[in-house]
Amino acid sequence: MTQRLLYAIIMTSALTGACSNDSSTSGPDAAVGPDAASAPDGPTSACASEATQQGRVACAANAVLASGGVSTLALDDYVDMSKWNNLPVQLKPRAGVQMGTLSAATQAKVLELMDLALDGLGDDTMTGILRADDYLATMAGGYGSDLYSIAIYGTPSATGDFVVMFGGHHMAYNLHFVGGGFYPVPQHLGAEPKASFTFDGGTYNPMGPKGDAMFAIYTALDASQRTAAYLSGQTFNDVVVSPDLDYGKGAARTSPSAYPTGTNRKGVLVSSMTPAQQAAVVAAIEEWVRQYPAEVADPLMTDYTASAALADTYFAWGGASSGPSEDVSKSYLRLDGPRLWIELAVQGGIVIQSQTHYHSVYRDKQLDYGGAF
Amino acid sequence: MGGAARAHDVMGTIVFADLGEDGPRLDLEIPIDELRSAFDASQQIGVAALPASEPEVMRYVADHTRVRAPDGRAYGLTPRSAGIVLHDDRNWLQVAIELIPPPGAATDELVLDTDLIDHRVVSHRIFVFLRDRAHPDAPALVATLHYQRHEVVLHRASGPPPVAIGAMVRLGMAHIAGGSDHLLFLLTLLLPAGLGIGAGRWRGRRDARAAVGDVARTVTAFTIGHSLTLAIGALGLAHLPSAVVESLIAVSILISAAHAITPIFPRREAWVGLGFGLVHGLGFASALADLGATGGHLVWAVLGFNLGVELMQLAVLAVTLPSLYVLHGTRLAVGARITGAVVAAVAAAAWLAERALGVTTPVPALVDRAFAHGPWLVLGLAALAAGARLWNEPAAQGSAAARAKVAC
Repeated sequence: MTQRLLYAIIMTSALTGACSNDSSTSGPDAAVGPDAASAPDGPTSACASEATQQGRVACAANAVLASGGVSTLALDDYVDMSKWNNLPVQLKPRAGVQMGTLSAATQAKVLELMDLALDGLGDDTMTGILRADDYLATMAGGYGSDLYSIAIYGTPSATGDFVVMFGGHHMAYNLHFVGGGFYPVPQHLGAEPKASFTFDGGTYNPMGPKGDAMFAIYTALDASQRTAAYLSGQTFNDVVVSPDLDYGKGAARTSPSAYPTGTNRKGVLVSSMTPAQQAAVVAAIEEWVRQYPAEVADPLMTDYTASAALADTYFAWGGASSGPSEDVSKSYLRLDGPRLWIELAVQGGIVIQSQTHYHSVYRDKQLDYGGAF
Repeated sequence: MGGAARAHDVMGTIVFADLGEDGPRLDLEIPIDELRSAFDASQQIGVAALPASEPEVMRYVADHTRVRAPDGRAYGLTPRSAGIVLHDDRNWLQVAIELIPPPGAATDELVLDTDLIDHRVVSHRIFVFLRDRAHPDAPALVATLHYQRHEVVLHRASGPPPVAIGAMVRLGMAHIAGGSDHLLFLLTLLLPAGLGIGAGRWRGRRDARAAVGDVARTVTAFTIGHSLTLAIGALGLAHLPSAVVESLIAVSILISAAHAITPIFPRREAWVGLGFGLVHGLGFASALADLGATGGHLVWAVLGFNLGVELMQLAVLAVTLPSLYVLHGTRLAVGARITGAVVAAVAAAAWLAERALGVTTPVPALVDRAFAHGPWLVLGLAALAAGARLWNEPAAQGSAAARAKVAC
């Protein structure tokens, strides 16, 4: 017990130094923590002036490499590249190097890199998940933002292929730059606690808006649509196309076989919904896709919401037949399109057992890993 | 244990499939919270009090697990509970399933078809590991099953991985390096190699070619002998009490020592090597038997072990016999040979006393300690041979003439 407490204190104090450089986020709803105000300019600004999103991320990734402690990995190391997960890192070690082993300068560069890769919504989500883990670290061992890992594959450049992975417990940002395109998938996000929390003077709610947006689709449906969208006879203890299937298996991964096919692919077609209901669907998709700058998000939104795509996109839910609830574990909501795949699963609390917490996965059936493997 | 721990970093049901000597069988570890999800949802039974409802759970496992031969015929299976274990703060129900093959079915390939839990819990995963008794710490993940993937074809691995053979080779080498009696026998038997015989006594030195021939014949015969009995003993076809075998090994050294002093079986060293090889092979077999290898693995184990024995013997002979041969050509020849033979005889007598009569002496421990410094013994022997040769040329035939030349 004493050991755990000590660990929590060490993690918390390490953090104040380690993670004080994130943020500089755009928009009025940027992270409100005490750290938010102190973003240094300099390398960030230099990279921010690059012409393209790939150029900016490549510039920031090279700044991380130049700062020391992180070396580039082989671009064809698909086995390592598939080491992302939702579980705490002591159960599933991530690819790359942990933040806690890096110098404060390099840690700052890593956060600047993510800051440039993500837009305001993404920054809030990422920062909130890191703070949530720091919050858990005050209650239990094996958590904390020092345990999140950075991995860079290939030689980052404005035109060549490279990959950046940043993740840990409840977080996997996998950024694939392949053939001039930017594919931010597969992506796993989650948070415990589910509800808003305060930590070190800041208030965070990284998954709340995402959960609300998915539940808003259900709420917008009428009774017969809800019945049609119910995944009867199935229980969801977690997301279905889960990280477990990818973890450490590279090209031999079996995830695609878990996407529902045939009679397992069901729900209410978005194209059959009213405009207001469709707007709720689009708003939910934006919660995941608009974590990235418009340059990246706009084409993805166009693809996912084209009328042909919506004519093949199902909304479905699972859990107790009386209806899903954000406070009832095994409640489940998903969007299943020709490419788009978003799942939100409600699980019981692990550390904070009095409330539930969210797991989510965002995938692109064609372009996970940049379509590269 | 290590394998199970590694397997447990996955959160689904774990299936260990054994198709080897212990098989065919399946050992399942099912996370009880997931099991409960499947049960509660289908409202088959309340499993609030596992394992109180064990018979129902076993019926459930049997209903959702099918195994069939490649020709489609079903295996019989009877799951039984093997208790509940705690891993990673989770309770896992262990279920052991013996598989009964249909008549005449080959058991090196079968199809596992299961929708345990995932018939209901679509987020559930079933991780299928192929396990081999010979490598209990390294089960290999062969398939991840889920709600849309229920089948996997399991093949029995053909032959153990090369690692195992390498380990057996090393074991064979270690057995020779650490077992001073085998080495002492071989060295003693070869002590007079390359010597000529005259009037029933060792006399003079034959040419190097003849000496190499002597050694090659004797070593080959010894190898054939111990390979034969190693195989027979390891396969369990013959068995002698190890006290008898160990005593006979000591006797073999005594006889070789006597022969090194005065030829008692001249030009028959190869036959003696063969005969005593048979005895030493039984000793190797008992070392192997301690490992518990069986069946196909045993053949590989025997081959690897024998190869290791051979490599180590050849290495030792390669660094000692040239020195002995040089010594044979000097005035120290007789003294060195007699000394070596007497030392070997004393050691053998002490072993025999201990093994046959239970009389302990400090000698075996001294011998072991000396052999532990093997490289120094080899270097000392080489130095002795070189010194004797420099100091004492005349044994060689041309040297008298050479000295005469210098005198002129």
